[in-house]
Amino acid sequence: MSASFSVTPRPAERHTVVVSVAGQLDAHTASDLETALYGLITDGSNRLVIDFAGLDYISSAGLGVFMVFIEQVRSAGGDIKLAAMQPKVAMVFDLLGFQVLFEMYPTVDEAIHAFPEVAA
Amino acid sequence: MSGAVPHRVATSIAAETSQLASLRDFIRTHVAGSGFNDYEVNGIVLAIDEACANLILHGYGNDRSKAIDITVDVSPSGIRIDILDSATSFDPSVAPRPDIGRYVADRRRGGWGIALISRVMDDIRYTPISGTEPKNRLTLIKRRHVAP
Repeated sequence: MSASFSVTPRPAERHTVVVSVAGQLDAHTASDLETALYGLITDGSNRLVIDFAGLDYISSAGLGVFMVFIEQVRSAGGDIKLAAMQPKVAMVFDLLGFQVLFEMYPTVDEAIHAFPEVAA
Repeated sequence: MSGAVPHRVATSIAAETSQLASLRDFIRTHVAGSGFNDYEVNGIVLAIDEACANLILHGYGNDRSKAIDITVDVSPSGIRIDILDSATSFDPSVAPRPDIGRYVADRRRGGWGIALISRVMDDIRYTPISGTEPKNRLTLIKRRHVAP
């Protein structure tokens, strides 16, 4: 059996894109996330909120994908903010001290509103 | 301790990343209920996944004709996992421990697996097995920590 994994982007407030990830993010499925994030960032989205609510598992291969893009989006004035992690997923970020690098929020809404308003 | 009935189970997987999910299910099934709490079970599953993913990607090049043999021993003192492969020898127990602070600062994409394994397991041992078909045995140990 292969790990099931899905990644679903949707536009949200404050010019953000909420990227919902679900299933299991491991060495087999990390490339699906990388492809999706690459496409969004290449198309000009650099205010990303990752909705982890549906994610049951993450390994270091999944964490590495966020590392690939974090500097690129920040240098463009954006960010990748992480939201709604289950404790077993948050544990992996905690073990490596990634909370110093990524902003993490209990809910997607809080992560969206952590982005500043965009001037009209 | 309830649930800590000694037992041994074994499985073998083809060396491709698509096998990792079923391996995790197998490990979780046999570790859950053996006296470790959920946090510890999640850590043990993660450690085995990281070790096997490293082998598959860096030892075998995702070659499904190769195999990895995994044995899980549950005992009153804890759990021991032996991972047997025939890839190029690599001893993670003596590899330099990743400097996590530097890795974060450098935005390193990879190299986190050994760091995770060493953070969740109590002991990592590597044993080369000589013979006509040399093999490597990686042993991961997690001890039970009983409150005084």
